[in-house]
Amino acid sequence: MATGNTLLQFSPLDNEPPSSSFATLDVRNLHPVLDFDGAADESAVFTGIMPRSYAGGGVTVYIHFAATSATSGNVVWNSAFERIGDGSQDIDSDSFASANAVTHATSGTSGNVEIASIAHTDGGQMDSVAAGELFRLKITRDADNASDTVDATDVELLGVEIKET
Amino acid sequence: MDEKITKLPDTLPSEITNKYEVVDNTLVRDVKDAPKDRITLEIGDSKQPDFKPQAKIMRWDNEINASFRYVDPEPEDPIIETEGQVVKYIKPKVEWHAYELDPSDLGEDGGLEIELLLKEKPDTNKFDFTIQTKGLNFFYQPALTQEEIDEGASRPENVVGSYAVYHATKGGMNRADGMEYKVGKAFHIYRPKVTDADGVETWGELNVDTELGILSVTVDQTYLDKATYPVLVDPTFGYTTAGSSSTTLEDNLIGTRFTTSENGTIYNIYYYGAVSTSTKEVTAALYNSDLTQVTNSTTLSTDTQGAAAWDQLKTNNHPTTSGSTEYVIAILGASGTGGHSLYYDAGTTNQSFTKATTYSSTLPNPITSPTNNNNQYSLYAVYDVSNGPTLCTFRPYNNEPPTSNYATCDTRNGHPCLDFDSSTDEAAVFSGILPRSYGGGGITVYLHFAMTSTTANAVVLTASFERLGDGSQDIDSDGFTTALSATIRSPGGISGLVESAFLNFTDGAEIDSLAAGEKFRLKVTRDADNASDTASGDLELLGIELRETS
Repeated sequence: MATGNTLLQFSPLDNEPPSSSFATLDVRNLHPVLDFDGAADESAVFTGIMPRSYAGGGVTVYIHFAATSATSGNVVWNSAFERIGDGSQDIDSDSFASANAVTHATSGTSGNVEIASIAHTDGGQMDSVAAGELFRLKITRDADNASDTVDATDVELLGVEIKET
Repeated sequence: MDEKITKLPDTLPSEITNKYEVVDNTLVRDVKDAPKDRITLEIGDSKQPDFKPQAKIMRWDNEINASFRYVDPEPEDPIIETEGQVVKYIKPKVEWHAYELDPSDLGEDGGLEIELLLKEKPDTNKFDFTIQTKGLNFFYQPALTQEEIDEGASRPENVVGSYAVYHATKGGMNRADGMEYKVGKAFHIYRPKVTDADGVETWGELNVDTELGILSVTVDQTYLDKATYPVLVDPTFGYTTAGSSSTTLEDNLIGTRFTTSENGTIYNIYYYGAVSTSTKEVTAALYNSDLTQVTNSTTLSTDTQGAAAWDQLKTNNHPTTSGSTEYVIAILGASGTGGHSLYYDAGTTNQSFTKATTYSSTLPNPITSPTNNNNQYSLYAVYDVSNGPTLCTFRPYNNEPPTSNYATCDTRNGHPCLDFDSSTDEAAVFSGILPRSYGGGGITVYLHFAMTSTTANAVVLTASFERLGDGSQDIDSDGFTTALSATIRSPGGISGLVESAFLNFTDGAEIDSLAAGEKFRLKVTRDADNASDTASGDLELLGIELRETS
């Protein structure tokens, strides 16, 4: 598979929520969504196996989201990888690499879906995940970041795509 | 004039009929009924109409074989009798006996005893067997030199003067979905012990001449002159896969050279060793022929006290290797109280080397100035040839559990997992549609798992496919094919470390003839009651990948 193709996609139903500060499963017009709070940082976690087609070109994480009610302002999204691999990570502890971030504006229509993207270069930014290895991706809304200006209202995550950059 | 046919007795005891298939006047059976390491024994000669004092050992689906027929100098017609499982070819002066030895008698897969019963002082002190072999090398095991003994080597009495018999071309580098050659050892012919009626013993001298096609046993003439008859001469054949001598691994870097036949990814290195006290750390790695280390190839394990056995060492990051290339598997053990040994046989000239090296989990790179030797150490690697794309993946919550004996949904530190019991076989079932991109190259199933608590011993995982297809499977019943299995060591040191086991399914029957675009089910089972599943506590399955093998 050539560079630039979709590697994996996750739906809200694939979320493996952390024990606290987790995004909440919800439904909007029958669309499963994960609600991320407007004041406190909340996260969702997705597990995958990196496809063999991954050729080391780095990945871009696309976050498909809408706002519950806001029609203006910016949302700050973080994404971070944790390589589980083969004999490399004790799953009794967490070891996500440093998160990368993006600030993305909401739509003028709250239900319109926006796509934010965060690039991770191959290697450290992906916690050195390699093809065929188990990994986790943590998506966080950095709600208390000053640049996140959709205050006091949720944003709703509808899907995540991981594409080779 | 009609030629007289020497026949097996018309009525055979249950000890024989329960074990063997009787083909004309030959007894045949699979001593080890394992598809990847089948051992077949034939007593008699299936190519002859009458019974012959011959035994034939076939291994790896008859890829190699060797037959040994007693050269009977007596002109009289033989009488064939049985006593329990013992088959007897009886002549006035000498009887030829054949019977099997259990694993409890000889270790590993047991063996075969051939006896010559000398009823009176023979005319000769040399007894010949004609041999015919296919694809085998015979290596004589001489007495150890004082230097070898000083270095910690040990060779049992019945191995001194014996022969280790190896596959001529295979072993050392084992393709995961191929035959289980290990180091290529097919069997061992131990030095024959000679015992007279008073229990006085001596060793016979064994000699194998493959050019002449003769195996001979020579007994000291003085012993025969003084012996009380009958005298028993007993060459023994052991179906052992490991070396029969041992040497220390402690602060002793040992390497052995092998040549690959194709490209691959090395997952595991195995060694046959023993630890006499407590625990000992051991590290292995793969080296290029110039003795520089192959990147990502190191292993690390702490081995606990135990008798000699094959032990698995997992490469940390699975190095890739090229075909038709010489590599070296090297291993080093820590010193301390008690012994830690590696087994070996005398083998091919300069196949291996040793170098005194203070133990460190970081092996030297490169290895400089080792001392070459002719030993065949019991070291081998297993490689995966899969290089195709990911077909699909499954997560624990994709499980469609069977009605009973199902793996249980659980979480561990937020990770969904399926718990498989350590005493009862439990299964999980996943359904999918085989992607249209599948090109018929076979499927490799990767199972990612951790252990709930244990950090020692091994687990046995099996997987099998069921094709639902288009009009081919009534879903009111199940139609899973025969499962393939993998035995893999539990995560070393930390129970939560995720390991991956893999199983190579060839296209066709092994995947229930599943084709692209067809729905299927995959059943994964922990074979907890398998004797090789020695790990305590639950196994936790975290994910599955199906990959096209090639």
